[in-house]
Amino acid sequence: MVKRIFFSGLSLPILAALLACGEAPTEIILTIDADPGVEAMIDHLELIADDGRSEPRVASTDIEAGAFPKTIGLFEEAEAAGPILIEVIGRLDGMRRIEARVRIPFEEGASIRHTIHLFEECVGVFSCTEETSCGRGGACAPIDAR
Amino acid sequence: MMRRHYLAAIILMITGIPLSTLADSPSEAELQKARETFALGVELAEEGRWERAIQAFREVMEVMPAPPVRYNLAMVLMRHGDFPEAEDLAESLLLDEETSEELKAEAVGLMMEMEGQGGRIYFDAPSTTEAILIDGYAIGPDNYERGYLMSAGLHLIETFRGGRILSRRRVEMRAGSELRVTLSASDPLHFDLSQPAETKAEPVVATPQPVERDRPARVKNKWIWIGVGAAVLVGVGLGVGLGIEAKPDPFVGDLQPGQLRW
Repeated sequence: MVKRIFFSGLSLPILAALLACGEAPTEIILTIDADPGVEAMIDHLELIADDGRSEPRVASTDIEAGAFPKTIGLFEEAEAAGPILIEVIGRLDGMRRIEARVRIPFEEGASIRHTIHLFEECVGVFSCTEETSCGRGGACAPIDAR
Repeated sequence: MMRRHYLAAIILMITGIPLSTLADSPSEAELQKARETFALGVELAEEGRWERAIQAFREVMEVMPAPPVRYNLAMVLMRHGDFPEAEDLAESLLLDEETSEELKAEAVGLMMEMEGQGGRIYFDAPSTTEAILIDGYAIGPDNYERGYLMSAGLHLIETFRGGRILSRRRVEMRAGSELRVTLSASDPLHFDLSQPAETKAEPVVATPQPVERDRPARVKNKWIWIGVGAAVLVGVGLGVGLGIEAKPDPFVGDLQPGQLRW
């Protein structure tokens, strides 16, 4: 009987180790890069991230030469967020000059990397629908990240 | 009531702001932009879009840190649940000779409202800690004992030194309560989100009570329990060690604030 109890005791380290060893953070690591022509054409960058359930989160920075790429982490703490609709807006003197959108879902326990590129051909292109975003060559492409 | 507060601030803006409150003599164009951003901030606040309003008032603060701007920023921070920064701003208004009596009274009202909605947190921290971050808002060692107002709900407390986050704690504030948190350099950087947050005002020391009942003889064998206890300790240590290895910090980038959370 005592042997069986000790055996159980020895199994506890493994169990405790498994319990304590959690998953990687559920996060999206976002890189925002831009063509040199875009960098020269904007002085402010704004990022709005919206999970459709709570108030959108906002990040922003002034843009100077050599500012790109910029990075930001989107971190899901409480398994509450839906797919995140991310809108990046480049402004000059407060005026919107370029925008790009992407929709990315969190994956539980996974660190997802994604890059939003601001193409020079997209400066002044605001004709894409809500479900599309200006991409390479100035063409509108679906916003869901692949 | 809220609308009245914002409008009051606008009136103060229009009637003039002492030149001494302007940061580094901004140009007329910068002032004009700040006025427009201020009006936008008021609009956003009235729509309840707190984060955008906070951003707008912060931008105005860089050009024009006048009492009405600080008051409006404090107001939207409070509505957003960012009590510590709102409290600091409200206090700065009370200490500022340029704040009108009317605005001082509003600032007092703001602090009373926060006290009604939240609680106060106090810290005991190692002297080597350079700052404590309450949901990302930094407070210095001089203010640890003073305590800070916090909204009811979950909050993240971090200790900071030499450009690094040293430890993290998650606490839950309840309205009308006080919370004393003893921070240690050995606090883990990671925590299990499935575990309840700390809510006790004082540290609780577990004192197991003897249970008076008959047990099988084998259970009374202390060596068995010493063995099991040691095994559990080894396991937890191993688990924490593996956890630290396997669970990196959530990423923080260079686009401010570096990290957005849900």
